[in-house]
Amino acid sequence: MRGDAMNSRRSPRGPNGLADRLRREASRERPRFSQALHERILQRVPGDVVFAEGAHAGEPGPAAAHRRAWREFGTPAGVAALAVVIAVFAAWPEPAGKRPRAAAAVRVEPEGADAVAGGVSPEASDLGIDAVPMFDDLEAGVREGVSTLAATLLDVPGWRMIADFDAAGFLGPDAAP
Amino acid sequence: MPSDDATLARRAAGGCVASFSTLARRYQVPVVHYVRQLAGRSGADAEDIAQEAFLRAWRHIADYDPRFAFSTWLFTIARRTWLNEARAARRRRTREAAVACGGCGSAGAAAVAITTERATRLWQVARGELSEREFSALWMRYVEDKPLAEIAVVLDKPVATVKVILFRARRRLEPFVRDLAGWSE
Repeated sequence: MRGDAMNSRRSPRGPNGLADRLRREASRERPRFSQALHERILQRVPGDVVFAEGAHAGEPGPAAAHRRAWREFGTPAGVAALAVVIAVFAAWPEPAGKRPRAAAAVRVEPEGADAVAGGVSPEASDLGIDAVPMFDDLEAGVREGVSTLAATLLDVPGWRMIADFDAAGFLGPDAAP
Repeated sequence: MPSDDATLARRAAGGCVASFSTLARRYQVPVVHYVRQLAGRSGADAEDIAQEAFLRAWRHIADYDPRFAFSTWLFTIARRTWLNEARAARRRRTREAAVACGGCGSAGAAAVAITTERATRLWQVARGELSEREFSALWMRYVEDKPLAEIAVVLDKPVATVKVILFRARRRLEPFVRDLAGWSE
């Protein structure tokens, strides 16, 4: 069997013979060059592609160079821009998470009169109020509102005096303290 | 002084029509030859497909990878152009056959059988007996003398698969070599 296979391989009708036959037949039927087809192709070529217009023979066209540059560098740049956008969105919750801490720190301010007058006391600085960034006008308004409320509460002794005065007026001299 | 294919392709990618013209002149005959044998059609039809293949090559010449031969890239485009054309033609025939007569589906197979029966040339037999992929693999191997790696590019298959395709194609053609009329050389 093995010998037959070897003979078949060496014979003109084996695989090598088949290959030779295929080559010979193909070469016999090889067509001739067609000038008409060549001209037909070239007639359609210059108008077929926009970047070929105005291009000088032998010189690279700028449009094609731009196209290649866009393909080479545009795609990585686009991917990088997308990565930056994703990174920004991923990092966004972190400053947002600091907002409750800022609000809690602001509530500490009313403990001293200096804090109301000066806006931020040294104690408040120790608590990190200075380090908290102002994210937007809304937060600034909240801080201002809290400061006003704190100032109002600090005036409470004055209100108490008025209340005592009114009580003295209503109750008469016997009721006065 | 004639330039090599890669240089001409690079210039053509930059918009140089003269360089593309040189490439088209260089490879017109091999492409038309391949398409004509693959399609088994008249010269005019094969030239139309070849023309379309060259125009596609011009449009996408910036995508040419100089690691492979320019002819390999061109044959790949020509093959795909013919496949698209063949699919479109098959759909047209199916529609026409469905309209003309509903139960004549075996007409195509009969036509192929007749073609094979009348074949006097090995490539004619190959066209009737082999798949398009097997035919193209044989053509690239024995007519264009392409290495297996380049045939793999044309067929869009791994090299190992190309080896199997070539082996099967040869096995299927060998019986016809003995019976082929006009086999006298």
